Amino acid sequence: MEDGLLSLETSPDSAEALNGIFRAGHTIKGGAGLLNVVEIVAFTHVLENVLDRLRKKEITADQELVTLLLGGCDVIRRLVSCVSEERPIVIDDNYGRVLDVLRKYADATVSAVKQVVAVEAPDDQRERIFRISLHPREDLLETGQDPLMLLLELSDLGEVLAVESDMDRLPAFAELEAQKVYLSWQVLLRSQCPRRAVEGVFTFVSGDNRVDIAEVMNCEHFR
Amino acid sequence: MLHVNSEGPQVIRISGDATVCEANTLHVALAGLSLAKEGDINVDLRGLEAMDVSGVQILVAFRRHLGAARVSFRNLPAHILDTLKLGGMDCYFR
Repeated sequence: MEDGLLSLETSPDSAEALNGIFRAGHTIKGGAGLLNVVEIVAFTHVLENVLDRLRKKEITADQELVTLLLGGCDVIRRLVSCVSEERPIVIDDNYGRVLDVLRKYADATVSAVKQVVAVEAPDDQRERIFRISLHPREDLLETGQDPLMLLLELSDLGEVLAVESDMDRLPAFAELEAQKVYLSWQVLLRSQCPRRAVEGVFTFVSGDNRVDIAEVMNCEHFR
Repeated sequence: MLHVNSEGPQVIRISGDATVCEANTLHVALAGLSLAKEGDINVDLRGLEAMDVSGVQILVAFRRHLGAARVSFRNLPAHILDTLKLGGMDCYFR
């Protein structure tokens, strides 16, 4: 993947290089998926979206993007070494920073990306309180995701001050469709992690699942 | 593997995995039990090994169906209680 990216510096439109990089990313994602290494799957999923946009010529492999993708390789290399050496995976600031910018390339136009990147201030380590509302799609469990695992991941980011589940949408027993999700959650999380780390927990469930994350001043904003 | 058994009309034992893979089985098994029309019903969860949101929803809906005051969930294993606390759902099993 790295060799392909380096070749893009001289031939940014090389279909051969782009396809090779895409295949490499896809292979890493598939392997991580088999091993259930969510951190790598989440990262390579976004990386793959960016590479796909490159292949479709929706965005251009300029020096800035190539540097970002090379940074992505570093992130993946570190994560893979954690797995191969059977060490716990630690999500550092670099993971979140690179992922965040990759997401913008995956979703937005390049000019919009550069604007957003330019105005973003570096993160500080101050303590934040986040209010997170999770309203999953009814078929979330069928996609292999489990809301409880997402809540568990959230708790890894700091201290869960409060969590409430809402059963109001639960139908009567006879009408219940057993594999659907009817619950929703509100969580109050105290954390020193940046907002993008909280967003990262929901990488796989953004889409049609409603996830609202707000930084609040104090716990009174829970409701 | 999920097991749902009744011991008489007032005691239900659920063991194994109450997860999405077994959700339909759990739903159908509970619906098919012959239970007392009146009096308390105890649901013994001692043998439960895992439970996800689908299992929680089925058990809560079942309890509401029979009348929440009549149904008691008993012997919920500590590791499952911990998971439920994480999701703010332990309150439904008190």
